[in-house]
Amino acid sequence: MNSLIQIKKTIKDYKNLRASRYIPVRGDEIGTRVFELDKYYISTKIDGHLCFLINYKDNKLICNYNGNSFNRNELLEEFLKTVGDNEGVFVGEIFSYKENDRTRSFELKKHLSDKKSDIRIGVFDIIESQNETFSENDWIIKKKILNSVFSKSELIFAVKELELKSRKDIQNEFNSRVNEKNEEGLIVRGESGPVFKIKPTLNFDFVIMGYVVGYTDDPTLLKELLFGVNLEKDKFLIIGKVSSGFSIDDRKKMVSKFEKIQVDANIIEVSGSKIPFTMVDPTHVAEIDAIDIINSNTSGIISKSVLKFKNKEYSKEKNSPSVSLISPIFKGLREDKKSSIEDTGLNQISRVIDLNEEKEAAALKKISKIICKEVYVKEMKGAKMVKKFFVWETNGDDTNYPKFVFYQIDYSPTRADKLKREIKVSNSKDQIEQIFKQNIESDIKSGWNKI
Amino acid sequence: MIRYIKIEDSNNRDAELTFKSVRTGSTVSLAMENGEKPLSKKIIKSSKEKNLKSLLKKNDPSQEDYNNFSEDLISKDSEIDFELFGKFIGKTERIYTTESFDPVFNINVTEKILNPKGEVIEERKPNYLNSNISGENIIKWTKKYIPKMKLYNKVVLSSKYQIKHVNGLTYDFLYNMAKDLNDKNSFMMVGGGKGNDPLVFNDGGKPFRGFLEGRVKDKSYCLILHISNQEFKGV
Repeated sequence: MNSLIQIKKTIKDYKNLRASRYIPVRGDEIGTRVFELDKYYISTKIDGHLCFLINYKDNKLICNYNGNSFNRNELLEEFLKTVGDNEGVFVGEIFSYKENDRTRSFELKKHLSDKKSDIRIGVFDIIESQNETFSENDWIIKKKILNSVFSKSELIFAVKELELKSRKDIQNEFNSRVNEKNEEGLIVRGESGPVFKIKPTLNFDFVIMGYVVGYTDDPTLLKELLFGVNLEKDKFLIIGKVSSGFSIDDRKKMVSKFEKIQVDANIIEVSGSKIPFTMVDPTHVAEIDAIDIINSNTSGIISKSVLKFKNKEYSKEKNSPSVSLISPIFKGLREDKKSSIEDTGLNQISRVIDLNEEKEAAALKKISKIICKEVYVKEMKGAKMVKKFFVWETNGDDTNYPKFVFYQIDYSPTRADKLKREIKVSNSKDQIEQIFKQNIESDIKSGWNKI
Repeated sequence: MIRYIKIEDSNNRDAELTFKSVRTGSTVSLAMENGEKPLSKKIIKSSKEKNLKSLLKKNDPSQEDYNNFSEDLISKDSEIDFELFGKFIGKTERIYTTESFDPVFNINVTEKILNPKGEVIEERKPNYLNSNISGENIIKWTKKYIPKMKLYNKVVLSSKYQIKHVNGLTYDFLYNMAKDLNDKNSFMMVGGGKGNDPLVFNDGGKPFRGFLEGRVKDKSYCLILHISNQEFKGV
């Protein structure tokens, strides 16, 4: 693993395959969800960003899972001084440090560009060291290496662990560190096997925007709710859907309540059961609990719809960075709250996690230009069959459009499948023109007349 | 995603473990002349607004309507959206629609029983089944060993899951199960309830028959739960 490309692939795989596999557990589920093990190694969860510390010949950097450097020279100098000739890839959490205060990921984002800020890294894993690769289960060996390499620095240090014997001890430690000292949560690992991420339950108030029916085998009961936050008055960002936490009585009553406030929408938001949500007037507020909240997943930044609500109709404005809740549970309707920036605004999210920055919207697409067009007709028993061949230049951006499109229409008014279509795309003008020519040659036989 | 499963051994001892689906990627892949792998992308080919009935603006067009449409096609290009068709599509979601492709907001699900000729012999309300693989439920070791050579042409093994230990005790527990099956070169039929019920992995999910396969090599083991909901029948 010497080239930067290989390293970047490895750290991306780590993010997708290992870091996202921590099992989320609520603080009140420690006794039931954490496995019974001989020993537990626990540490306080640092609320920052995942980072990779790379020391490989010419590749020396501290970066995120996309390989983008955090641009903190003092940390890179400290890292290289600390590791010396120990070549390898180490994994840590980069965070904004404030004495006697809990870490917050949004503080890191705020302070990262301020060179005077105190940014530190807690190292908690090794992917490779001295040409030796490590698996998930080599924790004792990895721990020894981490403690010996990162023992002297305050800026970059091995995350401190406490060894415990029972789940009751974990519960006590959770109460002390999280409930009393307001830390974000605990990371619990055994010598092998899964790693648990224990956090207190998160609680939110969201605007209800839609519902769908069909719970178990009863098509009249509520199945899921669609909810979001107010970005402005009558402008909403979709956050997610919730399907658990409802009593049967809730499911009945809410359907009869929402049936009366159905509204139109020019977009479709799909529920977990492949049925679109029926959208409703955004007046009701739901209290939702979740184990965790994330702003990116293995596909990258989470992005969801921004909807405007005008004249009793939702219309989609754009997609924007959003979040996903892990294991959302409906707790009840908040009749005392209303859909507003104060009660159900973006602060419901930003007090817990920062939203990713919005990418600049692509410029408006220029109109496509038809480059080639040929139309052929054949008459049979009074009916006209038509074949049309096109090539057009899309003039769209590379991310969303190919440069050229070949399109073929084959229409026969007497055939069962009357209108057949064929499409091929290419970024090469020569290739698309060749496709155009070949398709006409193979498809147009005797009896067809060019118009 | 790691999921939980509770399973019992031949001594009726149970343990809570984790499992994950096992998927092996294809060993064969497409390549271009220069050896590079082609990139797959979904594109928009047509839209609801441009389907034939929408273009004819009629739900039940006559043959005359279809015949007349040929002239429209010759004189205009209204069947193509030049700004939309060819556009790349990212993540897509499937929905139920009517025949005219309008979304359906409520559905009644029925189960159709077909005979070997594919004819419907019964239509009924489907049974809603709750998951029975964890929590209060334990997957039972039925002691019904099925030699590997006898099973392969009896059922269609549609998916498989690897069952994994979580600590030293459960390593021994699973290793012994795998060794037993490995030594007997057999699958073990497993089930919910008293051992006869099919396995249901998710609430509202389909029922499956479960067959455990075990392999050992030195100190390592592999315990695979194969599942099936189809049998082979002679024709």
